Amino acid sequence: MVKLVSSDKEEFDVAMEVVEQSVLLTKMAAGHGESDEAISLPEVTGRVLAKVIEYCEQHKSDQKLDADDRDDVPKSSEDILQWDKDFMKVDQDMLFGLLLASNYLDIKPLLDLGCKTVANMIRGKSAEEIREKFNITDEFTEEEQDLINKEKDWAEDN
Amino acid sequence: MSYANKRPGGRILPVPRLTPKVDPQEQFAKLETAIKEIYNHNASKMLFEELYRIGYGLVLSKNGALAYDGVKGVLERHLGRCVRGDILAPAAAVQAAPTPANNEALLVSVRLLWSEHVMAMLIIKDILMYVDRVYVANAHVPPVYDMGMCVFRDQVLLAPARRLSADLAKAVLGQIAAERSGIEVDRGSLRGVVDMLVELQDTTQSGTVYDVMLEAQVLAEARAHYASTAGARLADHGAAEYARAAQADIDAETGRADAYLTPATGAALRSVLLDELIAKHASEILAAGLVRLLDQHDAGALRVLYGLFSPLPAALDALHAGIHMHILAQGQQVAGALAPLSVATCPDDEAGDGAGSGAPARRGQQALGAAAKTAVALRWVQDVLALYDVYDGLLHSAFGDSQEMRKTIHDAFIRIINDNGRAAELLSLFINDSLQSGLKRKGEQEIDHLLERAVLMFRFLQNKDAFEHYYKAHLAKRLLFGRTLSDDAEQSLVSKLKVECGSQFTLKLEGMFKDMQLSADLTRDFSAAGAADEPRLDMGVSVLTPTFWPALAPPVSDETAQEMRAVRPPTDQLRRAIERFSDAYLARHSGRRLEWQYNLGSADIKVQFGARAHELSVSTYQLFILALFADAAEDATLTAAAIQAQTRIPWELLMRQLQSLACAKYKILTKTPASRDVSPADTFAFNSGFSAPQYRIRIPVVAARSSVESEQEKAASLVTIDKERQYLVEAAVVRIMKARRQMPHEQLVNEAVGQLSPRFLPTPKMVKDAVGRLIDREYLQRSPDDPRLYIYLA
Repeated sequence: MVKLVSSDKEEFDVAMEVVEQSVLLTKMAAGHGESDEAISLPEVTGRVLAKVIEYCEQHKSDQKLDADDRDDVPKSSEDILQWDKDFMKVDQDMLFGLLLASNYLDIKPLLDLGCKTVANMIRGKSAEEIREKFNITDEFTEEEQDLINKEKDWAEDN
Repeated sequence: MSYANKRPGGRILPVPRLTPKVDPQEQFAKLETAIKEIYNHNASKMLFEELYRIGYGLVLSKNGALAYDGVKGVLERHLGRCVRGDILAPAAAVQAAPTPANNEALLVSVRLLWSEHVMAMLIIKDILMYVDRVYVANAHVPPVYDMGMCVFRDQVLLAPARRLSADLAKAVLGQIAAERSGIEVDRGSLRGVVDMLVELQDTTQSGTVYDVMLEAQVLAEARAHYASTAGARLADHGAAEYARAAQADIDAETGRADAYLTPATGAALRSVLLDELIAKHASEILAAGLVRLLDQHDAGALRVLYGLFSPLPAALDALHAGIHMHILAQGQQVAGALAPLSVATCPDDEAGDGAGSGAPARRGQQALGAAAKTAVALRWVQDVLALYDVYDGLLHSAFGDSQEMRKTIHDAFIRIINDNGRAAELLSLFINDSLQSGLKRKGEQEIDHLLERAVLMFRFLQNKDAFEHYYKAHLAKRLLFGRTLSDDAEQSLVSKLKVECGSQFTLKLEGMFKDMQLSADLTRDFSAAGAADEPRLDMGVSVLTPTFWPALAPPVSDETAQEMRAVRPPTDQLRRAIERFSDAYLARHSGRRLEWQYNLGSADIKVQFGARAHELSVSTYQLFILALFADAAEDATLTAAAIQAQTRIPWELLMRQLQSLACAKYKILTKTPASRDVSPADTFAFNSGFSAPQYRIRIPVVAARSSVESEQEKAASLVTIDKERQYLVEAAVVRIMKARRQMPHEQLVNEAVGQLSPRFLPTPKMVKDAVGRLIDREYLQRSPDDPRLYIYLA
């Protein structure tokens, strides 16, 4: 068992096989050996960490893919398991929390799932709808506009 | 269309970060301190998560380059310091005096620095995991660990202050040289340093640092070292010693490569040594000892030699050629023993024998010569087989059953056997002798081995049809005269030949066996039926199908052959027995014709000489002659002419029969005058005073002849064989043309040669002649458009 401590000092006892979904936690657990010393995760709130652990519990027996193999799997935002779909029915704060946490903890499948979910939220929506959905209010600054133009130069019709 | 105009941009609300925003430089300073602690072996004091979070934070705040390049700088400064502190002094010592101790010192300190660096990098890599995952992937720079390796290479091996790589190479080469000269060195530090050089990529990216800066030098030194020792060593020791020493050197060098160089270097060292020690001296080594090793059957040394030669195509060819040559030379030696055969059959001897004018003493001498000739002939086959056994043994014990070596050996034996024009005859003779008497003292396994070997030689024989010719003759005699010792051995040999050459080849041989079987049945039935009325005559008849059997008697003129058909049994009793058998046989098989070959038969008769009786084993002709005296008065005399008139045996043959009865060892008849030559007026009488120690006496018909053919007989055989071959070639051509309808000349020749080669090797001229005959007989015609093209006429 590994003890995880969230930013708000909430403690979680998690089985090793569950922790192994996260590359970071795997390394840390290995570094810490089997000692009882808690791993503190100041980047993740207890609420989000609980959700992350729920995900890892569900997927603990999934086949682990190597980095190379994973790149071979075609990426599509359609093929989401029903359980995952239900799992991602969360408020936006939690959605962003999960994205950040999975990036920080290096849980690739969860990060992919979060990105797919966001992609599905955007699909087929107008700019206004998207802006509304994600609380996008601010205009670009002059500076940012220039940067965008420069970066997207290659995509323009010449 | 512009992105900006159409889509007024927006800003995603900043995600609330849990860790407070801090100064990147400050964060990095913590990282730097941590790295120093790692090098000081204080890694356990640090909080892994905290350091990871620093890297994570720096990358998220777009300060990835600061983290990456900063760490690189820290490593560079650290290693630079270490080199100045711990490495430069031993390196300079090596340059000044490359003693094993100085070499060792440098290797040990570099290895220590390396292992600490690797340990540190493994931790640093983990700490900077997020940098690797995000920054490295986007910035297209080497991953953190690889970057650490490059820093080591550039700061330590290619240090600006001193090119340590050269010192290291010198130290490694010095240690190898020391080891070669028998000084023990610490292989552990060598292994460590070499592993390091193998792990580091060279700046040119063409390979590892080891490949670029060390391997070539290792190989060059080895080459120089062995080039200087090889020549002298060959002069001092024989080939066997030299090969063993070379093998030991190769083992030592590859063992060294296994211990602290790389597998690739091991393979390369091996080829360098093979090149220097073997390839460059191949012919000298072979000249110095191959023949001796082969003659001594030194499988151990040959195996070493073969192992050394086999990776080198040119040297291996030379070895194969050497072995081939030596086998041929040995074959010639064996063939040298055959020389008496051609000497003994000089025309003078033949003429004397033919005219029947030779003195008795001379005859005896020739009989002895004949037995010796047979022995010489058998000896050749035995010697060749013994030689083959030697090389077959070496093939297994020294040459690893290599297919190429097997071929070389076989090719040599094919040459030996086919260079001997009499091989087919001698082989058949050898088998004849083995099956007739040689088997007596041998066990079943030995027989099997013997026949196996005989068949092997047969396989090497090109003129298989010639063998068939002789084999048929020998087999016929064995069967008819009941001389074969083991029917199983006979049958097993025929089935072996069948496997080699197909059923076509053994068709006639099997026919002969079948005739014998049928004849035995027939004789049994016949004597069972007729036992009552002729109690005194026990008759056995072999009915032979002419197409299966060869001509059994020595060739005679057509005239004599004609006369032989007129021979009649002189007494009623004999005549009746023969007629009765003929009637019985023809009644059973209508439409057949029986022709009696009295000249091939034999008889056992009981004869009363005065007080004592003897059983005589005589030829059928002799039986006929003696039968004339049996019915006459005891002191009756008959002239030779009278005997011929009654028996109608051709004079030429009769003369010999009379000689054997009256002038040889057992004088059954007395002759007047008592000379050796027989003329028609000479008179013969029954010798009632005859006596001999044994009860049973065999009267030989003709003077003992050598089983080996005389030159005349050989010529006759060749004619027979040649005729047979013409038919075979014609048959092959017709078969091919029937299938293909038309064919150009060359192709036809090739196909025909291909089809016939299992039996014999026809010359293109033979095929051409056969085609000519077939065109004459209108089986084929030349194409009107192309004279090289033949067309089959159905």
